[in-house]
Order: sequence, then structure tokens, then C-alpha cells
Amino acid sequence: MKDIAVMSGKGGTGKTSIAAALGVVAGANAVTADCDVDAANLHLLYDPEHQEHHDFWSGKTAVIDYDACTGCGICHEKCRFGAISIEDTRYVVDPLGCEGCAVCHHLCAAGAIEMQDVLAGEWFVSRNRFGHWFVHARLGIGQENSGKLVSKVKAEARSLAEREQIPYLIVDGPPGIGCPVISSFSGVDHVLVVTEATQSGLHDLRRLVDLIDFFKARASCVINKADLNDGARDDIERFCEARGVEVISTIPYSETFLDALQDGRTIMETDDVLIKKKINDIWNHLERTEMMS
Amino acid sequence: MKIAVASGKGGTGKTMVSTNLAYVASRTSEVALYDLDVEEPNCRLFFESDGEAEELVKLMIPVVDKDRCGFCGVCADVCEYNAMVTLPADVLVFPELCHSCYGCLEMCPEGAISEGFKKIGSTVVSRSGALTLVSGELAIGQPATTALVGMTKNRVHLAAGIQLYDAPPGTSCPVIEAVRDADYVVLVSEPTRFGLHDLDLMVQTLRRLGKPYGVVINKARDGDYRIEEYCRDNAIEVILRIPWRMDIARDCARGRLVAETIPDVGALFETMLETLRSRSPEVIA
Repeated sequence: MKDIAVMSGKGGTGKTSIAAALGVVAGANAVTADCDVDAANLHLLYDPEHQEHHDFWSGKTAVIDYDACTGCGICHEKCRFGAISIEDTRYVVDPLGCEGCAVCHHLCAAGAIEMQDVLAGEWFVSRNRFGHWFVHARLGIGQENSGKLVSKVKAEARSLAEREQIPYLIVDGPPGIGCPVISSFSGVDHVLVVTEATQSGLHDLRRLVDLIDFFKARASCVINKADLNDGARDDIERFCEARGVEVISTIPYSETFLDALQDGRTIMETDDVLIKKKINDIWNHLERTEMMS
Repeated sequence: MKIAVASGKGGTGKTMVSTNLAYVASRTSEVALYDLDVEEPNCRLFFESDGEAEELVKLMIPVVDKDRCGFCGVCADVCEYNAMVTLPADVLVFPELCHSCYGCLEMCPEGAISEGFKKIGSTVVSRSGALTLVSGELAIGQPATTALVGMTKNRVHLAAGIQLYDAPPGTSCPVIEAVRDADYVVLVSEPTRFGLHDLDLMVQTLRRLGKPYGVVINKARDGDYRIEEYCRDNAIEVILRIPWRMDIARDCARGRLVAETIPDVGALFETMLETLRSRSPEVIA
């Protein structure tokens, strides 16, 4: 099984639209996984029918037993995350600030602080409306541990692909270069970077390619909105050449992306033959590259 | 006054709104703009600076004095992040897993653990007219986004004037850290399925935090009023509507401030600033 991750660094470059379209082109040959668990969107185009639904318990939060609390304040004093404050006459834990480190639990002489498991989200194994496997998740509001949920989604999607003997896994990755992105790198064979011809796109591409090198993954690049800024596009092409990242497609700025999103369709379901051909070519290129490696 | 600009979904124009709002506000007030999208900080691309001051940002990691260590295993037991492993005659530390909670240091019965440091990124302060720009930049391969967001905010404090936070995308801990001390949150959305879905996630998040907020509709196209309808149904104020226009997209793509280069867009941001001022005249003015 080959693991292809679609990533972008910058948000809004068209990453999810392109990942969704590649999933449609790959059809029964791919399991698709939405690893942008913070702001998961792929399900909005795939209308999945859930086959399995699981709670995701991860991390812990401190809970104070006020019958046992002596008010000594060591929890407040030793919390490095500023998550314990005084409200009215007692110490309270801010669950959104608590890192679950349990330092307060260990140091409380009265044994008044218990660490409770946190329901951090949920994850699903589904069939999308085309009948193909789709693994996705929802992180609880304001939860941490999105990296761990990404790892869970990836692990489940990988084992599903192996069990069903499906040759490809297509991952819609999170934006940025931080914890959830790092989690999406585990086991990846090929990173398809979707950037846009803007100054911000170029800046974020540099940082993402640095991260890709850090993990020594293969990468290729799609320049979306390629006619927005010719100078930025040229700079992106030069940068990619210097870093050994092949630019496999350039896609002009197009309202097709917006129109499709507006109606909840993938771009493969629009009438835009130019863009549909480009997506087909991208998938053919990825298949060819991954078959040979 | 502290105003955070957040979006849920990436690419809705959050940085466009925060940079242009900062620019317009800096014509009449002292303004500090904090780029808290530390994984991909882009605010700096939009301003010419008169010089920059960079500072490394470090977090504590444990350093074990093996002459004093009894290899009892307490440090590894209390570490919730598996950043320490105790062997019969050694202790291994994995700095990238460490959350700098100081648990091991507090609990070591031999006092064998002291403070070391790992670099997680840097903060850069630059000036552009009456605007102070503070950018957090996460080092490549570092997962400590949330910690760097907090430390970027603490780099510079303004006694008066407006502090603007350009928040990271998403709805998880880095965003919470970015908006937790804000007086008001501007949510930038776009009228697409993705935009509406992620706006709703941010609205739920801010309701949980009890923050006042309003919505900017960016890339607004005639005939699509889904965000307006959502806001009306949920009694949320729409503070600005920016049309979907090619001249705006192109100037943003070139790293230009559209409030400066396109007069009617500049007027939109002036109006937005007035609206925000009227929300809390005593603190902003």
C-alpha cells in the first residue's frame, strides 16, 4: 500500500478540493483519510455513510475534590500552564488550559486532585457517496491532542487498506507544519504539496519543504491559482527545482473550485474539462511514480 | 484593547483582514500586530520594516545528573508524555515529547534533575510607522505550537492602543491560546460549505469561552448569502462584507496591503475599525 499525503502549509490553497478529487479519480483503488481533524471538511463533499463510529479518549484533565482540598494552593503555584486560578474562594481548573501533566495531582498533599480521562473527539470508518472507503474524525471543541487523533485516523486507514488489499491511501493533511502535520508524516511515501502563486504561498511552501526534508519523504508540487501572481509562480518553480521537488501541475485561478464547493460537489463532478484533465494527470503521475519506487 | 482575528478554516483571508486592519488603525493609533499563526507566519510579508530584533524562544527540558540519579524510575512514571525512559543505569530524555511541565524535576527524590532548554522557535519584532509587528516563528520539526503562541504574545506589551492577534487556523489548543485573553474576536469566513462549517465550529468554541465576537464575510459573491443567513439565525453581528474580486486577490497575492492600494477597500477597513471602536470606545480611543 502506498501512502500519499496531500499537504499545503498555507490554508485555503485548494488542498481539500484536490484531495477529494484525487479520491474520486482513484475510486476503489484508494482509501481516503481526512487528517485535518481540527477543521475537517472532506465529509462535506463525500456525504459519508458511517460504518463504524468510535469515541476517541485521549489525554487527562485535573479535577479537584473540594471536600478533600485544604486550599494550600500548591496546585496553582506549580501549574506551568496557568490552568489553575482562584475564583471566589476556591481553586478552579480551566479544562481548556489544562495540559494533563498531572503535576498538581502528584504534588497535592491532600490527595484532592484526580486526573480524569478526556473524551477528545470521535472517529469514523465510512463509505463515501461513491461507495469507497473513507476514514475521518471530529475533534471536540477546543481539544488538544489533535496530533494523536491524526495518528489514530491514519493507523485505522492504513490497516483498512491493508485488510481490503487496496493499493493506495490518500490523506488530506492538516495545514501548517506543527504537531498534527508531523503526525500525518508517519509511514508516508509521497507528499503532494498544494501551493498557490502568492507571496504567502511561497513562504509557507519553503517551510513545508524543510519539514518534508526533515522526514526524508518524496514530494511533488501542484501550483494552484497559478496566474494570480506570475512573479510568485516563477519563484515557486525556481524554488522547487532547486529543492528537487517536481512541479507536476499548474492550475489557473478558477471559480470552478468555488462553484463546486458551493454545491457540495467535487471538482470531478463539474463541467470544467480543463481542470478535470489536470486532476486526472496528477493522479496518473502519482501512480506512475509510486509504482516505480 | 485586544482583538483576535481567527477563522477556523485556513485561507479565508484572516491574515488579509488582520494586516489591513492593523495598517488602517496605525494611521491614528499605536498598534501592535501579533502574528500567532506561528507554523506559517505571513504578516511580515505585507510590511516594510525599519529593522528587526529576533529572540530565540526556549522551553525547559530535563537534564539528569547521572552521578546523583538513583535510576528509581519516578521521572518516567510521572511523565504523562513518555518523554523519559529509565534504564538500569541510564535515563533517556526525548526533548520533542517533553511538554515542559517540570513534573520530573519536582518529583525526583534525589534532586538529580535540573533545567535544560530546547529551542522551539523565535519571535521577531519589527516596526513599520506606528505599527509594531511581533511574529512568532516555529522551528521546523517542533510540535510546540501552543507554547510559542503564548510566548509571542508576551514578547511586547502595549500600554495603550490596539493589540491585534492573527490567530492560527483550526479550533484546537493553539487557537484557544491565541484568543483566550482577547476582548473581542473577529471571525473571518467565506461563503462556501467549508467556510460555513468551520465558522460554526469557531462560534461554538467562542461561546464556550464566553467571548464576544463578530463575523467578516470575505470573498462574498452575489447570490450566495449562506453566511448572512447563518449569522441572522444565530444572532451574530456581521461587521464587514468584502466582495470576491480579482483586484483584491491579485494585490494580496503580491503581498500588498489592499487597504492602501485599493481606495474602496481602504474605506471598508475604516468602517470596520469604526465599528470595532464603537464596541468599546473607552478602551480603544
